[in-house]
Amino acid sequence: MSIDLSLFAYAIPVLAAGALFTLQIGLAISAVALVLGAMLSLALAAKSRFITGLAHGYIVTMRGIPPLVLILISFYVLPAMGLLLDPPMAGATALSLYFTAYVAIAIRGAVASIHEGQTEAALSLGMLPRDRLTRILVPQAWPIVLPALCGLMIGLFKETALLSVISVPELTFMTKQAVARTYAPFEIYFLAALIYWGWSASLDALARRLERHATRYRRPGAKPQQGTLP
Amino acid sequence: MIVPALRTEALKKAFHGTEVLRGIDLSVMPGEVACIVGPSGSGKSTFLRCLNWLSPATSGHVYLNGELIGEHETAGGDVVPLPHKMLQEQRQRIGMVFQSFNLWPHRTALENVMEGPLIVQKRTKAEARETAESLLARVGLAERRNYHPAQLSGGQQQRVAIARALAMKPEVILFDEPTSALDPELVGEVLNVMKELAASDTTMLVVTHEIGFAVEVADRLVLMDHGVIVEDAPPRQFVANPREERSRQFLRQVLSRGLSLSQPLPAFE
Repeated sequence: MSIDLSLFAYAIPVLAAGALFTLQIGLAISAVALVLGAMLSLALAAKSRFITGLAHGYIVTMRGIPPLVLILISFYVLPAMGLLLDPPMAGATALSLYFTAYVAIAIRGAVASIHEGQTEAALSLGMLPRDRLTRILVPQAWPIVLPALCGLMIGLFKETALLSVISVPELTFMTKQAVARTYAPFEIYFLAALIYWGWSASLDALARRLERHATRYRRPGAKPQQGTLP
Repeated sequence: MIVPALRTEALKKAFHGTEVLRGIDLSVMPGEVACIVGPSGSGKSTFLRCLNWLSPATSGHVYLNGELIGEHETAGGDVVPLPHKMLQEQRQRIGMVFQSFNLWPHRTALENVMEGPLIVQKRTKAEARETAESLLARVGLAERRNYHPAQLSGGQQQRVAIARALAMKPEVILFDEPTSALDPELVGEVLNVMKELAASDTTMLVVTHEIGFAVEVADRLVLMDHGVIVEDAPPRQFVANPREERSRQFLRQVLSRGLSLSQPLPAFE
């Protein structure tokens, strides 16, 4: 089998456009899910039973529904209820709501893993809730939650392929289009797989660097910082 | 009349119906050091945690220099819990040193000690730093100020924690078994810091198993058992001539097993 250069000359720009769209929608969904997930994790820790109940209910629901079904619901069912969204918007909404639940679980787990003595020390000094959150809990939960969030983000980038079923012009959709024009599934799907793998691998590498940075104080052998203060 | 630095009135605490504290009345005068001893599960730590409301008492009251802690009296004469923000104001005046140190691992020794003055008392960074540096010097850790807790020994961590509590200039400091989590050879350095505090008229309430320390440093030795105070006496009198049979029994157990006696008992006349 000889490699047909004209095939790649056709496919690469098409797939690049799809890859760019995947990147954009993936980042947008990540940002929304991160913010909503952080809020949901606060709701999980709320004093009101009603609020924690609602939050748990949401998570159980989202965990029980395949993301593809959520995407189809938001594209085909919401319009019947008067909410008409274009395909990227419908798809991004569905995946954002889906990943919000997982982000909340990851954050909640990280915060719960911090020894309660950490909060008690802050309480005994008279620290207020906002300072306890931003100065004690978040800096310690961050390195724990980071790998989990990166794992979720890698998963998310792969799940965006599902959006092709509602004609969102992301990488998988564009790949299928290119295959339909060229009748060269082997080369083109291989190229698409390579691009997905590239995203995941670079996210993974980034996650490991961030994690190393965030946990530097935990290594007993580390050098003390000299004359630096926050 | 001198107002006690810390006073409790009929303090009771129950967990799920089990009474852990069954009415504790205790006063600590300004500058006084009171050591609470007693078998595990006697309610000592619970009592300490009730004093700054980390674990609210089921009933009874706590007074700090005459002021009701964690509660206030309404116009109608009812006593109700304080809003969180006001409780946090009061907690600044009660220092606490924990068994497991509870230093913040993401901050250096200096930053741990600065945190209270800087964030809670809103002092300037320069002021907070100056306070923290002098306190770290006081506990013998000036050289270690830029180390993170993971790089310090248990004894060093506990001394940083003591400096952190001191930084708020509290009216009383509660010590919750401050040496129980330490390797035996590290106990002495923490006790020495506490002795220095006691000698400089810090009001201290110490839950401890270190009878030797209590006898040497405390003004009063308090034995707690099953949620009540069994005996409350000057330590030499307590050890030499306990009033209660339960106290004699406790002393026999402690002394026969040499339990946590890091330093030998001083001689008695």
